Amino acid sequence: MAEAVVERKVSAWEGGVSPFGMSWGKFMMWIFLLSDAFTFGGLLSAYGAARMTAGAWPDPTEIFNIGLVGAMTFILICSSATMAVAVHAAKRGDHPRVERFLLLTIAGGLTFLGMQAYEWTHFIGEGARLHTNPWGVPAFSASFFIITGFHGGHVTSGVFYLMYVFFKARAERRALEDSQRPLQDRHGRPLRPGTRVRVLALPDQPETVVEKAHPRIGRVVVLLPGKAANNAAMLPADAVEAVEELPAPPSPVDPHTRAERVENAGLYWHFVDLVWVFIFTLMYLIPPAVPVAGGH
Amino acid sequence: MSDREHAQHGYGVYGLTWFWLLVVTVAEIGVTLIHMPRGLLITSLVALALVKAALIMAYFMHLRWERPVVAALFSVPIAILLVALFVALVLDSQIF
Repeated sequence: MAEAVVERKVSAWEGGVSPFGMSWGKFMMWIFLLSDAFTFGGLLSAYGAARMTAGAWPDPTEIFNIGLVGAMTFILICSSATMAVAVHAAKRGDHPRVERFLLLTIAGGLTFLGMQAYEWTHFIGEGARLHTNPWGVPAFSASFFIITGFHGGHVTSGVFYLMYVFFKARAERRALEDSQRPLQDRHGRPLRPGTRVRVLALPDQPETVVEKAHPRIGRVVVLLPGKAANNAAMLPADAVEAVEELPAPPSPVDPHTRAERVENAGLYWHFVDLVWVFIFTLMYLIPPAVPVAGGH
Repeated sequence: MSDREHAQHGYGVYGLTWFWLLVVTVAEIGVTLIHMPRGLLITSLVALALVKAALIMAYFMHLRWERPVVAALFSVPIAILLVALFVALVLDSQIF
């Protein structure tokens, strides 16, 4: 497993392949999150300053449905927890669990986005636009759309990112299973890509080579030399016979890379949750000193 | 090194983190419902948000098991940015 990673006794400051004692991929994710945090920090600071200097400000606890926003927060926290489980499972090598919990996390992200779409629709229906709104404080709806929109964009990207990680994890698990339990001919000899085989139904044909092996459906693709061009044929495994066995190939998956892909995606997802903590507090919960009277 | 150390613990720590995040979220909504002075309310809300942020960073983002310098790398620049930018923006707006 991860023990294959070379560990040198060097200072964490020395850099090299593992600055700060972590791999460069994870380190770069942290640097990216830092820059992303600056962006959100800038947006939220500007929002805070706009609010403090605007004089009157609409009361968000009256305009927004805090129950709904609380539920969105709940969903996001749950998806962060399922993501943490997926990361931990990846480190332990429990790959079926990784896939299950990635799917749960994706479901959480999509639910959050659905609720946000509902909230935006409702807010726009009340007359809020980027530059104007019925409460007469343009910065109120502008900051709301920009900041929650930017966050929602991060959730959307995160859902695609997690889908990529999920499909990659599944493909790697299958590739590993296939390499450990390869397709076999009727004598139990392994049929892998490159294995030379004889097609039993065509005794006169010269030997050919396995192009692709599909252990999951028990079939091989072989080339049948024809007169004009080569014809590929997909045949059941017991329709061919290996004439030469290939040595087992090296594992198609590097366990460390595999676990770290999930871990880095996890850092991103938790960061999106982290940003929401501040959006939730600063944009929804803090009441204004001087509320705008009336409204719409 | 740290990876292997903390691969020893079970999944329970994430359930526990999840639980406390929910408790703090409920507390956040709770304090907005009881009437308290606005300054106190804002202080409590920001403090609760910082507790949640710390929980997420320490346990979900694994900073508790990384070298402390990684946590510093992330938190210090952001703290400086937030304070400096906020102060600059508010002072610049000449409300004082």
